[in-house]
Amino acid sequence: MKLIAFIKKTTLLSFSLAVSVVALAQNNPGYLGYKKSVDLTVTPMFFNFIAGGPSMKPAVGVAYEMATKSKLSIRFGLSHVNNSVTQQNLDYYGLTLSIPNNSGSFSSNDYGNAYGNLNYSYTAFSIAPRFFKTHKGAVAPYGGYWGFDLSLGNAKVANDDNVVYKMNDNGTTSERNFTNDAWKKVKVVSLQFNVGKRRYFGSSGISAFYQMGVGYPLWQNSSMYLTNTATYFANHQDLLENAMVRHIANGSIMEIKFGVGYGIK
Amino acid sequence: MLLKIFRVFLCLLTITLSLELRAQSLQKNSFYDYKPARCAGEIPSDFLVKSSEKAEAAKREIKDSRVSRQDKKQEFEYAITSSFAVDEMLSSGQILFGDSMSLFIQNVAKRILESNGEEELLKKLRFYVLKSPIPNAYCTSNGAVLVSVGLLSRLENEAQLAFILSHEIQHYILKHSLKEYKKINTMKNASSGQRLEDKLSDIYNFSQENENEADLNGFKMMQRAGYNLDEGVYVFDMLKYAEYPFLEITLPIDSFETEYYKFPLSLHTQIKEAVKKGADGDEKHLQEQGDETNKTHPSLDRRINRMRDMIAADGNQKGKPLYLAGKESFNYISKMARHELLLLYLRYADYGNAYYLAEVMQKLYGSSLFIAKVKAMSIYGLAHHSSLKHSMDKYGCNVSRSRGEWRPLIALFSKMDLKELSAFGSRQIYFIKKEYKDDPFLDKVSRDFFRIVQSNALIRISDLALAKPQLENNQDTTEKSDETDNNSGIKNPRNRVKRNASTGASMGTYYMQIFTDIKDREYLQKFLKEMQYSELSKTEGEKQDPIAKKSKPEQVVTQMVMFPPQIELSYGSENKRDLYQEEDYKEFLVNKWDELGDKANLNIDVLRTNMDQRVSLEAINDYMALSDWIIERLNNDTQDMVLFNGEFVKEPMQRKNATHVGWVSYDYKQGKRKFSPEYMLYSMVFYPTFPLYLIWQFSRDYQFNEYCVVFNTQTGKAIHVKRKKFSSRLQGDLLNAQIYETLYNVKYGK
Repeated sequence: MKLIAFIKKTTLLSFSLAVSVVALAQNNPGYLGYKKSVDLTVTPMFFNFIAGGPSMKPAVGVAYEMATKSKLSIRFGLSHVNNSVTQQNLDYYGLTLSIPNNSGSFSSNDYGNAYGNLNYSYTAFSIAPRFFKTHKGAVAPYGGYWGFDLSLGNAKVANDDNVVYKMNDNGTTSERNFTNDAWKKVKVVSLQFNVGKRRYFGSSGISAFYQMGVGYPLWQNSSMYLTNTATYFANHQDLLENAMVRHIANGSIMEIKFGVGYGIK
Repeated sequence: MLLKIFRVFLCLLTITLSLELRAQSLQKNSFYDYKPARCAGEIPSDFLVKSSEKAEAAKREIKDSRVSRQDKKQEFEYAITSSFAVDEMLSSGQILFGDSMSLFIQNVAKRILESNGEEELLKKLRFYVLKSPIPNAYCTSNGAVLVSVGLLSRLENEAQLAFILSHEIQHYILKHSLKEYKKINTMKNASSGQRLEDKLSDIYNFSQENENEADLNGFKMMQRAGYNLDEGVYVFDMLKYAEYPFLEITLPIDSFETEYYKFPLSLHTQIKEAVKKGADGDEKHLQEQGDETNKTHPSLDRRINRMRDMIAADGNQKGKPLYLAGKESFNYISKMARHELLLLYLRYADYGNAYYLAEVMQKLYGSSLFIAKVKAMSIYGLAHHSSLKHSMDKYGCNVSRSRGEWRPLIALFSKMDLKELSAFGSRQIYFIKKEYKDDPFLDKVSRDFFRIVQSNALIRISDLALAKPQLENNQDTTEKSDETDNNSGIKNPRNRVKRNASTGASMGTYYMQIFTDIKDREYLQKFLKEMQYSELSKTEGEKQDPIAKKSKPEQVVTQMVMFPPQIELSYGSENKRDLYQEEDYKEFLVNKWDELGDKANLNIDVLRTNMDQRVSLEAINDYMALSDWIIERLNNDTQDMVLFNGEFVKEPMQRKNATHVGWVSYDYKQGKRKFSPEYMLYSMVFYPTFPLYLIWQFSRDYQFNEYCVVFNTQTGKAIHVKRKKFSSRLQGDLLNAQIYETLYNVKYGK
């Protein structure tokens, strides 16, 4: 229910922003008349090392930016990444599977860490107001800006075939494999503060931009609590989803984005 | 046979008479409704060659000369700075060439040089007229001789002009400006905000020694040309009284009074006091003129004495000619210069002074439409600024600086309040309109003047026509006014004013009597009704359809004329200018504005007047007309005012199918970046950004300001006034974005 309410709010906000875009568009000259831009973006995620953890693949995306005033633009973006967390690194988060044992030994639970390759996909839709530094010569969508990216993403485990657990059953180690064919889509809502700059190549309308941002997920619907340090999970599905969300969260602490755009008048 | 001779005689007489009449009509036509002088003929090479090329040519000459290395270095610097400074002046729209005045100056100079065996110099020297009211003349290091309109208007004969030209040519021959430069070892670097004429004065500011040398040699030159040498002395006399009108007439303020319309005693008293105070200042001023302390030029008195000694050695000057090129031609250009001078006064919004000079010109040359226009414009300008509560000192009504006979009138203008000025002006404009009924400019000015009278001065103009002479209760008031006289210690010459004061319609409303003496009541009623109607109909129109104003379509500018973008590029803390790069930037900016105008669907016609082969006579003249207009507009500094030069920009603007004119200037500075501890701290906290900080800190700091003003030449309204300041290079997409934004805002009037 909460999610539905959130989606409703987001839709309403997007609609209001779109209306304001149309209403105010005529006040802005844009860059040589280019007030909109269709962009291709790539986010290398190489700042993941700051938070630590397994490396990430670059996210690619498309975006559409509409300048409403000289100082303001609204950007709608869609990004996608197929990530793979490799065997050694899956243990990085120290997530432990804790399941009742079947051996009837002294300990009631078996404990184990996961190893192997976790493949997941993450697709995010973002809406982002950009505030342009007109005192530095910017005219939206051209020039330096700061802004927020509010994104709603779907993360889903794609493949867990190679994941194995080294289970400890009262001193006895065994490798076990779990499978799940019904991975749910984990919703992740994140907020990022960013600064960036778009520059144009002459009067061609082709632009390039870079953006640096800091952010973190505000909400997600997996069994994990972002503020909770608990690392014990009762089933394989929850553990891997948590590993996935932590991977995404750590990657978004600091990111840099590059893109090229094509201007539309 | 006799009949044949008589026929030939008759024929010759007819031809002579017809030629005379034609000459007279030409003269009448050209001055009756005088239009500003414009450049004509072949464009001089000065305007066709880039400043950098001129500087390089001068440098090549220096390179070949046999002077020391140190001297060469100084001469190189001098060649560059002077070439660019002179060209800046030449391309300012303030220089006339090929017009009657310039041609006459050239003719006189030719006679002087030929009689001195200096024919070669004729090829090197070019003669121009500088549109400035200040009496001055310059001869630049590259041979451009500039004589100001202010100086020409004051000259009494050709011999005086000959002396001035001889003097200036000597500065050129003796290379005084270079010598002076070497002496002080630094050229005064023209800084921003300085007037072009001041920049030129700074560069061509000679020492007393140089001036004496030029006087002496100039005198000899004039002597060899055969002119009357006494006139050289009168030139100094004229310079001594440079702040006085070029010719004076006594114009007492009671000459504006009638039997019924009298200025109140208090106003008379104020004027008397102001005139007396000003006259004390005049004596001090004349004493200062004779003082040589801290002056580059020797005192005029000393120069006059030296000149007298030289003349005495030459013998009696009686019988020596005052004119060699021609008296008629001189009188023509003198009259032209005086007409130009009036235009200059109006351009600088010196309305008080312009009105006085118009009276002088009327006395000197008779009435003309032009003089009537100047008078009407002056009164209108004064009323306009008075209604806006501006200081009248700025509008040609500075009593202390108006030395000589124009002071009483200036004092009158400065002391009258808006109601008094409105009434005074109503009377003047009534007479002007009566004489020149159908002139559209006078009609426009009159209507706007009476709008001020009604809406700002709150005078019902119908009351002015109805006002009756009020001569009752004379006795009572006379007694009262005598008391006032005793108190103030000043004798009251006008008892009638006092009588009016006692009636209650007087001291406060004495001006209601301005039309009392007018006999042609029918025309007066008609005139006032006409003036009243225009205002009321406008108001009624607005009242009838208030929505019409709101639903006015958005203003879209599609065509604009632009002055060539100006730039001042400087380096380092000393703000040293890079003149070569400035020239390149000017060309770059002209093309950029042109190109981006197309992108913004705003057709921009940039007047290409930078020194270049592509410059055309039409562009130079259009630039001059628009530059006159914009100077007048800026000096008036007010929206919705009819401008005198508005008439003269109509034709070029119509030809270009435009109504708006834009002016843009850049101030671009480059230098070392200041150390920023806070940025260093931030970068150390976010350590991955530290290399970026280092690159930034050690990179050059660029700053530029863009000033842009766009006016509607029909209404005088500034539709765009903006200053932008950026810390960035003046190039690339930032410049594109900013110019485009400006054009977009201009187009949609934002």
